[in-house]
Amino acid sequence: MEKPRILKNGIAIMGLVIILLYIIMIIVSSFWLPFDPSEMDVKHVLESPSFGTGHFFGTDEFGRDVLSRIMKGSSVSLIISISATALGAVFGIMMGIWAGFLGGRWDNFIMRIADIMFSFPSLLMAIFVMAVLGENTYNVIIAIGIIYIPQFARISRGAILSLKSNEFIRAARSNGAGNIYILFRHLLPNSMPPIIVQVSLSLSVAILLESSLSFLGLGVQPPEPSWGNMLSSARKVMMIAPWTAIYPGLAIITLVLGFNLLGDGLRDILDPRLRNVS
Amino acid sequence: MVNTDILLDVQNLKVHFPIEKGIIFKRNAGWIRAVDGVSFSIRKGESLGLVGESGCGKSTTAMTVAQLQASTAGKVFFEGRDLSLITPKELRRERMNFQIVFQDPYSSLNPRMRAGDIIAEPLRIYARKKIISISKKEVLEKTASLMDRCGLPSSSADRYPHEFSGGQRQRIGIARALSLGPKMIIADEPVSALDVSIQSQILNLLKDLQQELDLTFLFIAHDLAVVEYFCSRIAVMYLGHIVETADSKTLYNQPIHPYTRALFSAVPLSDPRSARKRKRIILEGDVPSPSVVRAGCPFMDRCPDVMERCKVETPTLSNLDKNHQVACFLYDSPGKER
Repeated sequence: MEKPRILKNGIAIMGLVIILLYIIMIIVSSFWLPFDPSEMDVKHVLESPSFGTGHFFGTDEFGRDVLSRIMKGSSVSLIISISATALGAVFGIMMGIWAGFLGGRWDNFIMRIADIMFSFPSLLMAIFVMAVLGENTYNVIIAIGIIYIPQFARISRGAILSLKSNEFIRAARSNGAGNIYILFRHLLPNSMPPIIVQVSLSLSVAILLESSLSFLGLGVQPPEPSWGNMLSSARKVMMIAPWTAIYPGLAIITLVLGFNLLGDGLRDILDPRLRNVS
Repeated sequence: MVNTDILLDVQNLKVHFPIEKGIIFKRNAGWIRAVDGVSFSIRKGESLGLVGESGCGKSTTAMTVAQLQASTAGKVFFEGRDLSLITPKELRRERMNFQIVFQDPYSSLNPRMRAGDIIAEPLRIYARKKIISISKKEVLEKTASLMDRCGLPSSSADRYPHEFSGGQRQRIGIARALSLGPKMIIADEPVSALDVSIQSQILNLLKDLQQELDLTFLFIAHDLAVVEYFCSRIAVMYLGHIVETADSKTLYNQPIHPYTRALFSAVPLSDPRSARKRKRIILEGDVPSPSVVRAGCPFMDRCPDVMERCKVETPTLSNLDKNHQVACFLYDSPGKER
């Protein structure tokens, strides 16, 4: 059995390793944490990182262990980012291929709806959705997913449109292929590279959006930790206890970087034209 | 080889494309008359070449004959059946009999499918639709034999299209077109995207296949040398009309229609002495827009022999002799039958 292609791509491996580390962290955090992330400890408020006390990343303004909170928050962040992207991708791609494949009036109708959704700044749109639905973790997923729908719709429509005029589509038609067959066998596989890149970007942007929403107090609600609301509460004590802001920030940066690297690598891997090139 | 049975009969075919204006509320601002009343027929085993300059409607004609483009008017009979009247299910069955070889070997193959799968795809589709019954093993055998027949190494079935050269990719396209055992091949400029040296290989392959499998060809081209080599009969198109049709020898030696004469006088000759002797007919002006409706001969504003009559009436194809038809008033003397 030949080596999977993903292992030949350095960039993808780096991204994959980062994401795997986070996944391991989530698994570990589900049954073991250094400290209880919501237990307050007034004797050890704003303690700087040290090995002696066991608070490797220090403690926050309530004496809660920052490392434990980051670990607990990682599962929230990752779940939100993956589900929101999946939500946006499924509905967006459905809309996009429908618009691109049918063309004409349907195309116009669907894409104008997407344009209307696009015309709101994404954070504003998320705030709006959160205000309507109420503040909880599931609604964060829905809010971010809604932001993603027009993006995926536009990308998949563009890909379908550019592929539709290819002669191999005509060839398939002259070989008796039906619409559904052409869509799934010829159009979708060939439109995957831009969609996959969009997925990886969306995963990372979702983490940022979730953090932004939580930072603004609209996302994950305290005391449940998320990287965003950790940053938000760190704002007040950032000058005297910088570790409360630096470590959640680092967590966001590295996970975003991991998704972006994986996306870049996947784009190269999925393009058969770049295969077997020595 | 040639028998009198007519395989394909095209009658007064018209394909008009709407010109749409407006962004949201589209209104029709006119029609592009890409094909405007084309009639021809092809006998079994014959190869008809359809020539003309870019934009004269020859590819549109081919795609309409192949039922990949809806016609505005006119009829296409394949083996006596009107293809516009049959149900989609019957059409799918009928498609097995006419297959297409496309012009661009790069965009006509799905870059994500392996060569073997591309060639086997038609068989698999028809097997899945239960129109033909063929086992998986037979599909592989058939694919291998097709690849072998088209000059592709059998080891290349697992390779992707980008790993092949242009000529090899066109061979894949030909193998795909043959996989369902068609009676007619519609070749839409099959060699115009290839190098000259590769062109002759592909043409010879097609010619061999024609003899072996008793294929009928509708061959679209703009290269007259290619058409003369390959086709037994040639139809010359101009602005959506057929202006002259004859067997290729006749047409090559005695083109009659002013447009055909100009076209053939532009073919480069290999012998410089005869090239110097030959009088080149240089046409003035441009092809008029196919969206303008007007009376008269389509060629009237560029024709060196234009007459008053040409501006009022449209000439129809009339028999010059049994194998030679021309649409021109210069040869439309009252004594000849029409």
